Amino acid sequence: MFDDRSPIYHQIAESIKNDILSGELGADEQVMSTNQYAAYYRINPATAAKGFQQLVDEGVLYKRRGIGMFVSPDARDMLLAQRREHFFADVVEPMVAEARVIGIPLDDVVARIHSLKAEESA
Amino acid sequence: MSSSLTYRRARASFQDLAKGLSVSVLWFVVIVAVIFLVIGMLVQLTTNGGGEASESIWENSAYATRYFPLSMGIVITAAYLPVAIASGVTRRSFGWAGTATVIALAGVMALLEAGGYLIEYGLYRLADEVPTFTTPHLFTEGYQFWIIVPEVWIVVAANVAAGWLIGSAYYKWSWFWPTICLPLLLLPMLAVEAVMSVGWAGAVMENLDIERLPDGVAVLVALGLLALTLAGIQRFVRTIDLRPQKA
Amino acid sequence: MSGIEIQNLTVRYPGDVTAIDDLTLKLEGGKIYGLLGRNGSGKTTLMSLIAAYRRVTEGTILVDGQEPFENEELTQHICLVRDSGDVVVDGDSVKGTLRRARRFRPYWDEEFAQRLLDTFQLPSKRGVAKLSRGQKSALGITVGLASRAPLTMLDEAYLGMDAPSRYAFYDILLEDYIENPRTIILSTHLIEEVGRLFEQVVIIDRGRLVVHDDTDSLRMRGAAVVGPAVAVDDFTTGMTILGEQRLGGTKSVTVYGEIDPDARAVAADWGLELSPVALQDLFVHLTKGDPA
Repeated sequence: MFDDRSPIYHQIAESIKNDILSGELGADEQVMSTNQYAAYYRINPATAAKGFQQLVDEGVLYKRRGIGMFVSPDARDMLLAQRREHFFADVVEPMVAEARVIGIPLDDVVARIHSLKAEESA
Repeated sequence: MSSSLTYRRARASFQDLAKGLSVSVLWFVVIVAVIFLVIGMLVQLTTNGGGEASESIWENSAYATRYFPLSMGIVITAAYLPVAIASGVTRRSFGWAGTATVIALAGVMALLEAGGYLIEYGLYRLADEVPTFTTPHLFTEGYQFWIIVPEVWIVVAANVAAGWLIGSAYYKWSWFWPTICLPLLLLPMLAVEAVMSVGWAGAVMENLDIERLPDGVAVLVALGLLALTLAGIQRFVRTIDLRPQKA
Repeated sequence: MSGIEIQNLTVRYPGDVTAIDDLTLKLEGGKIYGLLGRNGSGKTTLMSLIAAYRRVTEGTILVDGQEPFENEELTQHICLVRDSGDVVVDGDSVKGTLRRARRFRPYWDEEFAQRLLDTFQLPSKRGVAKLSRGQKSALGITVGLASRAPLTMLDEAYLGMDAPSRYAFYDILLEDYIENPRTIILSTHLIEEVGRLFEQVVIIDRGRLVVHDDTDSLRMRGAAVVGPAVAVDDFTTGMTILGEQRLGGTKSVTVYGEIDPDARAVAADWGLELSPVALQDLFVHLTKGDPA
């Protein structure tokens, strides 16, 4: 489930975000408690709590005192917006940079994208 | 530091020790009883005299009721100190538990001895004989359990305490120095034996022509020595570090 | 909450062996700590002193602000299982061992103890002398966990246990810690298996403190820098280097310390690959050297 690439709490937050993006966790749906989560994935509860806290701080989850944590109504939209924003920074810009380094004209790249788009709509 | 906590923990530790040692003690009592019953019957069959005073057979049981408890004393620290400390008991509480064990074990032996003498006295009287004793005692007749009990109690307690001291020294310093110093470790017990001057020690003192103290004084001095010994062991036990575990 | 404060602790054994060397360490308590170190690094000695198995002769140890040696208020709430040897007497049975723990441990949970016996398939009537190595360890764990001591220390408690039993132990430990939070210190070399249970990690080597940090932070503290030898050397100048390996013109250097985003950008620019280091590898690097 978790690897050594990044802090575990970060991976926990990411996996919950993925569940929200995929629709597995809907708006205002209750998420597992940190303790349930910790026991299930065999991790320290404090680590799990840190991951959940990060999501609360980001506004992805909200707490209801004495009941638990829930998915914010606008969490999915927010996450989608974030990913979209990151998409250009994380995917498109490095691609353009790489194309420049290895000498592929941007027009070729754009042409390729157009042809992919045509295939998709066909 | 609450003394009621020490009391509670010491009592629990004593119960643990008593529970652990009770099986061996029970077996010992049964074996001693059977052995002397058999010896008694054999003697009865072979002598078959009557009408005159004859030697007590039960008097010989004194060796068993001294040295078996001494060996039990040896295991008090070696077997039970680590487990007590690992259970969160302090050495102080364990020291009290050990002291209680010494006193209780000697008490059991005293009752066993007194009971044996009483039964022997009864059996001899049935055969119209009176048991006589080959070594000095504070009592003169086998039925005087009110004297037999304290006599045996004090002497055996000194022997168990000696075992406890020896066992503790071996636990703390391993075998070399305690073996060299063994006579020293036996000194407190020998002192009590000498002051009491009963049984084998009484015979030795008699041979050495050393006058025995008046009974009351002897008992008081012996009790004092015993108390000092136990207090000393208690202090000593409080300095013992648990051994590192063998891998 | 069973916080532990250790100041300048030194322990010398006869024969000029320094088991603990001027160690200073503060644990707040209420967490699961991993105490890591190689054989002979002083883990067992350290825990033995905290549990008042031995007297402190140089430096101080305070548990909840008090010295544990001969302090019954404290020691009844401290449980160290070094090896099952300390908690059993040779003639005892499994049942007798539990009876003793029930006698001495104020928070003993009999039901939980029975559940542990079932989980580890320990026959309660069997004499402790007849238990296998793994069963002895399981008995030690049973006593250690069911005592529910506010300060519980388990010293390589899993010796001789097979993988399924060890995982059962980790699961139960975690579950019980969640229900009954307390200070738990586990010493181990099996870091990969238990690393995720630790909130904090303490690494000692030759009696000295090497690292005390949140497990997650520690994991992020190490990195392997891989790339052309010259660039790697340039990049890692001034960093704490734990180890290096070379294969032709390529070099891999394990560094210890935070690498900030700027440095990461530089690395990317120079064509260097930065990859995280597993906790186990970090431990090996940090405690490498002549065996103690």
